[in-house]
Amino acid sequence: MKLFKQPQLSKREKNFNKIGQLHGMIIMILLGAGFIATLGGYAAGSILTVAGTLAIIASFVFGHRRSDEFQKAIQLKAAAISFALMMVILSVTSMLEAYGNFTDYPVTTLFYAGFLLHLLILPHLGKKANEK
Amino acid sequence: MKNNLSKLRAQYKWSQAELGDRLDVSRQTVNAIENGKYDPSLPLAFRIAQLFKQNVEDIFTPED
Repeated sequence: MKLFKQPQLSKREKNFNKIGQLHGMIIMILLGAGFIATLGGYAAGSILTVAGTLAIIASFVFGHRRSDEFQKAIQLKAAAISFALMMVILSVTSMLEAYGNFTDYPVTTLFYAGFLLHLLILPHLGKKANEK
Repeated sequence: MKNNLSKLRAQYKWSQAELGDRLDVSRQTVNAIENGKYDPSLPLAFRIAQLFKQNVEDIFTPED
């Protein structure tokens, strides 16, 4: 029995809600939030994380293979910078964790942070190299 | 490394994208080479020289 009358949603509103749910799920995965604490939930979370990680690696590898020598050079440079920044983040978070200020940060979040850093640094390097 | 790639390209009335297509590289790569932001590999330098029918050292000169 429904206590409240459900509002009639248009197709557009339903689609919007679906997109919202999908975004929420992506953000949850990015933040390393687990699914419901059941074996199935953990399995789903692990599978999605592995799939996401492999997709990111595949996008890098295929992108790298299709690029010419200059693009390859700036991609490697961006990867090196983002890796260095990730190491800095790792050391800071480890230190904070050791002092008990910051706990339960997942490595997955760090990996995605590196991916985002790479995506932010790469166009910057390309633009810089094309400046007069 | 200095180069006169932009002058040569102007002589042939090619755009950066057109030259990139002929060299099988991107327009960004041609632009970066012309601006001296990127030194091409030896195979690419030879492809450029071959395309403009010149020697590599006539196009690329070391900076003092």
